[in-house]
Amino acid sequence: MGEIIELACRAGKIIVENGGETYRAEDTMRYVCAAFGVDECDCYATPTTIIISTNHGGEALSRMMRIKKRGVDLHKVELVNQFSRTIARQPMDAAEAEAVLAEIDGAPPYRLSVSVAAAACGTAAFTVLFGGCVTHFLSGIVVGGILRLLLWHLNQIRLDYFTINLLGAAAAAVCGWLFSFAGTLVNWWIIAFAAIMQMVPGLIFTNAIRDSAAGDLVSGSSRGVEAFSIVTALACGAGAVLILLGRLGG
Amino acid sequence: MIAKTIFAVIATASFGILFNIRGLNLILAGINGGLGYLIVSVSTAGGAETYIGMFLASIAMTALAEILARYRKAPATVFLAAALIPIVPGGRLFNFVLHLLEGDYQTAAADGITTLLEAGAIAVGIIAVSSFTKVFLARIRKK
Repeated sequence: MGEIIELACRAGKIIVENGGETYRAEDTMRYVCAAFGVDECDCYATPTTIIISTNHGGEALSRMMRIKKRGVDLHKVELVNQFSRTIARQPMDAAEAEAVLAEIDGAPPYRLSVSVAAAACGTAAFTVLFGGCVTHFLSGIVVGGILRLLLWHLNQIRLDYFTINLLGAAAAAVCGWLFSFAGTLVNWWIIAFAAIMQMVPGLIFTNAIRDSAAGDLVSGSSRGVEAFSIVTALACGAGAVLILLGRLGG
Repeated sequence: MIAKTIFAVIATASFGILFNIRGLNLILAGINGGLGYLIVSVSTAGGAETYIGMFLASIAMTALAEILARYRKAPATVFLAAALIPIVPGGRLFNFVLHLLEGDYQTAAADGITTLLEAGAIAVGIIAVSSFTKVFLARIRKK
């Protein structure tokens, strides 16, 4: 009994930690409990906490997990989703399910080199969407890659998300300025903005809306606040550098 | 416009990698991003306000994401989150902050209100389609 709610709680935790919606985490926990024959089960998930409480034959049990890590790994969300689908159809024993979840939790992300290349490619594509020329495109490749590397290192030293976004945006603006021949390129800020696009909280914004629409108001509003503070950090970081360079005549 | 749409597909798929989307889903997410960008471009070129284009785009993208989610047995977010990035009013938001910092409050206010309208239009589009899908699917399951 104890291990079942532990299992359900872990499944929910993986979803919330990696950028899944709140209702998806709650549904998953309910599916896992139902698969093990626990009928009466209440779950509550927010971006920072998961609570599950069950009543099985008069014996009440509950478990709470605190969520400290918040990342984006939609592959893991997809895998846990498949797991809850599978377990609802063909029951497995607790140890087996435990092993599957541990495997999902340990699934590696793309290698650093791949994500740097992706950021470079995406930034270059965004310079075109913002109306840049070939020089913007080429500088975008370099600046986008550099910014990704920097973000990776900032994440490694476990800075808080606000400071990471503030520093990242400032760095993107400085790099954009440097790689446009010290700002002599027309509309050089296109490069900086294109690089910053990789930090725009698209997933958090989407989840904030989907959570609110599903009636999970606590999660919806806290994710909305998170998205808003990230955008504020980005704008302050980039804005400060742009103003400073503008004053210097860049 | 078509060339830019292709770049929007590339941009979405690249950022999809940063979200750790894998395999065919990555390409499908990219196509969804291109679709959104194309709709915004076409409606803006047709003279509509940008927020109308964004509303239409977010409806189409959410619908496609929900359909893909059923076919690929993956959460709809996979096909939606990265795809929204090319159409979110990021550029205008930065203009808002820049004008604010420069002390040009009138331009800043105009940018700020437009940003709110655009973000709101995207949000309403997503909510409308997600809620409709839920009701629709519940109906089908009952039958």
